[in-house]
Amino acid sequence: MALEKELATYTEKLPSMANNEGKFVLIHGDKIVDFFVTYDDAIKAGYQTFGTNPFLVKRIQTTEPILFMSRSLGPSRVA
Amino acid sequence: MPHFTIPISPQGAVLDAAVLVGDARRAALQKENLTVPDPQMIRALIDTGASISAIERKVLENLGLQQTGEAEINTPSTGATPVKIPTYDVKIAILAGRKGDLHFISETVQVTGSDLTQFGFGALIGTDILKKCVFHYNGADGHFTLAY
Repeated sequence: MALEKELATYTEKLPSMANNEGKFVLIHGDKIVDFFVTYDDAIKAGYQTFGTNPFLVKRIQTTEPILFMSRSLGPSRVA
Repeated sequence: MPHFTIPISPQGAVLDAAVLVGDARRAALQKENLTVPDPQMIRALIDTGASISAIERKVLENLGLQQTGEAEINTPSTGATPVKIPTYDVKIAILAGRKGDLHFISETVQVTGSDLTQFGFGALIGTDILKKCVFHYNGADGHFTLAY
């Protein structure tokens, strides 16, 4: 699975990131790189730092919000 | 606010759009001497029932995108338990009118990849993009207006 390590890092470090709730965290491997106010800034830093190598940008939310889609969407992963 | 008005299609509020790699990814590709994929032209449905925009998976593949995030989502088929799905970063350009005039280009937004071909369009424009717009659906007169 893509970003498996980064997503595990997010879950593991979430309690310690609670004071940054609402910000966007940039994660590469098991390393928390930095926090950003906007998604755009976090994505920019990710590409500037890691180029086309994998990185995760995720909004820090101690309670994960559930998004909604009005129709069933089928497979969602890009090959 | 700038705006445009176009007829409602049998599928709903559908317009022309283009999906592009974001500026940061474009710069990274150029720095690594990799080809920047061309914008992908699509038909997009404005969907106020979608809280995150969705792009046809094939379109994302053509743009050579990699997963940069994850979201939990509920759809009619997931029941009460949301599913975790990968997300990607793109820019979306809204085109409309007889000449396909460019109206606006979003900032880099987080979208899901989805199998939309069965519905006859390549994207769902959700409330994550609409939150910066005024959307007026005039079913009585058969047209919709988007101000941005």
